[in-house]
Amino acid sequence: MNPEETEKFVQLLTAHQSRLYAYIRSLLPDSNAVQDVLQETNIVLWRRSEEFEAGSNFVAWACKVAYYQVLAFYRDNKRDSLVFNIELVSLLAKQNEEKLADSQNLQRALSCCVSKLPEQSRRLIQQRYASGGSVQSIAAEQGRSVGAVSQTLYRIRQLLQECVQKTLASEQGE
Amino acid sequence: MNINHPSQEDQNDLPKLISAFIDGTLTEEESQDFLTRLETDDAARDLYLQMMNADSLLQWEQGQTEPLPDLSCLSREDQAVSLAFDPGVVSARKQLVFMRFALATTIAVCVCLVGLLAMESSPTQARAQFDSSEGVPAAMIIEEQNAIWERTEWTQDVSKPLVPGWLKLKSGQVLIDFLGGTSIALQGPAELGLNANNRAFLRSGRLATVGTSRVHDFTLTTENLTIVSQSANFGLSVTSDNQTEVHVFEGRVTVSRAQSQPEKEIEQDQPPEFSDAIVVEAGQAIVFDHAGQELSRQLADRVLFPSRSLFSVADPPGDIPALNFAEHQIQPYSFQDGQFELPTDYQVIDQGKGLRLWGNAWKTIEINREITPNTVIEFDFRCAHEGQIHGFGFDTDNQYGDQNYVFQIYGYEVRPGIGQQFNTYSGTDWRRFRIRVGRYYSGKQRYLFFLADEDVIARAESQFRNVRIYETP
Repeated sequence: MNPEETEKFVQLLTAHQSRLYAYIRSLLPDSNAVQDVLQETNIVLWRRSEEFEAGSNFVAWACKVAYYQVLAFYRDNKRDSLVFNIELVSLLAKQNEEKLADSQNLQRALSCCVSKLPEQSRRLIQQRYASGGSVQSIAAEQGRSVGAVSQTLYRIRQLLQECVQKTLASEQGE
Repeated sequence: MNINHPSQEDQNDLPKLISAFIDGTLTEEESQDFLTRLETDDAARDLYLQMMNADSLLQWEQGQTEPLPDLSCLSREDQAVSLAFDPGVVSARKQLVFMRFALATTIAVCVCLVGLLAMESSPTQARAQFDSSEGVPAAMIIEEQNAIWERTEWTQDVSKPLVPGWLKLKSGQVLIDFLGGTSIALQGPAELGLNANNRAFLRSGRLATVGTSRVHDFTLTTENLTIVSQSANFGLSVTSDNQTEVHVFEGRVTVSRAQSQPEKEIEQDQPPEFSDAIVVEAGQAIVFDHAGQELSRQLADRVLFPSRSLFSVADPPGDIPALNFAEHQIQPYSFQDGQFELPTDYQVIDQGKGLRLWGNAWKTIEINREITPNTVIEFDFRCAHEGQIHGFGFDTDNQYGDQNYVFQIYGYEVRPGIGQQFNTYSGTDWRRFRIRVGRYYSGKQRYLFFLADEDVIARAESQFRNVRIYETP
């Protein structure tokens, strides 16, 4: 690749990190392993960057690479410590590749909807995600039950989902 | 069996199940059920991916506090290294946060365990705490039936909260409300140690948990056993020769032999679950000897244990008129009403005999009522939209704070200072509540407030009607 192609490739790779993360996490719902597999995927994508044809579907190509990295992870780790079986991973991978193709709008809508949440809910989202807090740790910190924190997060997710759907629908209508 | 076409109820539960899966709070059984649905149901997979993707994007955005480096100015080798390490930086940051929290939690748990063990191993000290007004309240005696206490100093003012300590009941029965959400009917003669708002020690006597339908954990220990319950109703008796019987009526409990070296428990920072734990299911009873060895199994027998019905609150004396909300000014209660700029609304219903709240609503009326230990409130309640907390309370100054006891009768939230012992509502129909509020409040109360609390989406609904306040013998 010439310097210009390299720059474009790196731009694509960085721009799609969040989608790759989401894709891998959907197949491997274990946050520690997700970071490791994303790291491996990035290395493989870079090593194979010569194979990527400019203008073709980068997300589809990157997801395929990520899928094989997930399979490699499943192969190398004890099956009983993993959540999904290989058949389910295969089904989810196929379904999610299409879903994530349009995730840019989803991400924008999500950011917008998070900013509209009540302050208390936004704080909980930050505790859960920005600080990497588990539901158990948040519950202990706030003196609440795990079930109550989990239920609150469920309500927030519901609210966000409704807001995202409305936002995307209104964007499409414009 | 209808695997590919799940019922409407199953579909309604699915988002909740997925959310709990994302949070890692599913039970093993729920986890298996969820995986089966993912494997067999396209729609379930679709919804899972939709929710998981949104969650991951949220996690990515919130966790990504620093931008990725500008790789275009690096050599190919350097770029590969940089790409390889960048996610690790985020991961390491999270791990650091987690480790700090884990360390703090471990220290806190150790301090608590040391405190509990010190209390259990030195009853004299516990007695001293019993009369202290500075301790953290763990429980309240909310009803008595011919109760005679072992020694004069054990006679309790029933309207006072109990801090950790020992109760010696010579005869009669008492209903004890642990503030963690469990109610216990204790039958004398009995000796019960109150450890915390969700933990007690039965040295001798007979008791039954008569808790609510809500999820709450409770741990009962004896000289040789530890019984852990998650919302189960069960009976426990300890004889003078330390023979123990556990009878489970609803739910299940885990029974373990007490460890001979309790210090190890602290070092390992483990919950009270042991390798030789026995699960006792509803309908079963087990008799254990003084060493905690199982002697025999039999059917659970409720008749052997005190029940909540022994403590039912008396009917109103004569025809007590219900509150007419149409004659009162309905006002916002403290800062709670519409908190976080969320919607709040109310409507007077049933020709003034009822009040409907909606949103994130806390509303109050002035009643100017003297509350005595024998004051009872009676009302009908129904709810079509569950929120975090549905309930009521009294106040002197329309300023909500820790000192204000709230009676929660419905809702998924469990908060300190908000009693769970009456959180028993389910379904959507009217249900009558009758609560001896005089055990929790005393003196002149100016305000009575009602609430439908939902700080997240403000869609809680509460309906109260036929509210009567009266004195009972």
